[in-house]
Amino acid sequence: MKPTSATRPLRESLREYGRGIAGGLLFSFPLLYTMEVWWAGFIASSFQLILIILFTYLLLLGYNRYAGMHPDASWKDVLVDSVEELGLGFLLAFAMLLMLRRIELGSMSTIEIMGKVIIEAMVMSIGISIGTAQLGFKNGSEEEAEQEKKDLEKERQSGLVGLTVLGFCGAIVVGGNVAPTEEVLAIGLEAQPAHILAMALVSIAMCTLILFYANSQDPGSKNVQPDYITIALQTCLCYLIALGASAVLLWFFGRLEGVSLWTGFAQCIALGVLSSLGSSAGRLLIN
Amino acid sequence: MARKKESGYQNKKNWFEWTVFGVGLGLVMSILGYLVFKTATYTAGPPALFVEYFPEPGKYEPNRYHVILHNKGNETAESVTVELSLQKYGQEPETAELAFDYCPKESTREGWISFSTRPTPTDTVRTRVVSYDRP
Repeated sequence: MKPTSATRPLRESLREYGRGIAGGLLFSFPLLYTMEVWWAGFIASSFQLILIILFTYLLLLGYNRYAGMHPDASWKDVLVDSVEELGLGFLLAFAMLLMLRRIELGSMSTIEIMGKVIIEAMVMSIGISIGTAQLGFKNGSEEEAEQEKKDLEKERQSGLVGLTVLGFCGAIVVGGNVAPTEEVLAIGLEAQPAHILAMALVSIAMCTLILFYANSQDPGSKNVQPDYITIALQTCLCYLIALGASAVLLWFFGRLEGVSLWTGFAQCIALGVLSSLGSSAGRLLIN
Repeated sequence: MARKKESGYQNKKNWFEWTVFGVGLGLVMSILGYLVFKTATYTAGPPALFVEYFPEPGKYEPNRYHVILHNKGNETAESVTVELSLQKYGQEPETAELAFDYCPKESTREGWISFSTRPTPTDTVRTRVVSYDRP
């Protein structure tokens, strides 16, 4: 079928999918090679798997709305693209797990295969979304591309909701690579309160540093010096997003079950070091 | 297809992208449908483990047995230990253990064990699941 002027050429579509697949693999390879993630796939109940699909879809909607697509794209376009990325994530995760012999057709039950694919597809589809939007830029004239870039920048810099969504995506993508491992539990169990306090302070300091001194794109650091209240509020928000994302990830991978409140809290803070990097620096990377 | 001409944005999806979307939508809906069915028909209970075994002599392991662990329950079993014992004239001269990290729900895991003595046709091999955890 010959493309009409109103539709994108096939070559450009293939290039876009290529970028998406590259992004998906880039972000999900650590998870594809992590045992605990395979295990989480068959330990999770069917209901938990439904929740993770819905959660991933919401993250995709958020990312595509605030960073992945043109600011003028309608919600219908965002919904359609998010489904497309989720489907691609499933297919890619299935193919990679098959290649790595983590799933075997015949000897493994459908629910086991499905569990592994769904867990891996979570970060894979977010990676596809980021890869499609970030690895390279769209075709068209120089002016069009420049204008589109400016529109995107404007969209990304506007509103607390957008920053929160992007921060959450960044925290999930960065923190998700470590959350399923036993090491987070080991750190949580063995760290003394002083260590946990140090982790929290370092995380907060990293958030402040990255948000206000390393991010030249942030509205707070552009031309005007942000006041202390803005710094305090945005840093707190960034760290809270990181802790929230850490708690969600730890809960999903069963790290909060059967542990004391202190151990759960310590794990959240330990994972929060990475997640806070994700919610602040990751936000710049995927932005 | 959504278009916002006033703002200059056009959804330019071609037939290939719509096909990918269709496949993606079908896949997501099928997976969700299957999971909803599994959730609706789920009954809580411990893992239901049983062991199948049969002799499978190898070139260097003449007394080898192939062991297949089945879990027919709705829960995954962790750290499963399976014991095979050789019974001769009411005595139990030899036992062998096999450990599996996990046996997921509705799945099987395989392993092999070797006895040091050759079981004769009159000997009996007995098997049991010794222990397992809930993950």
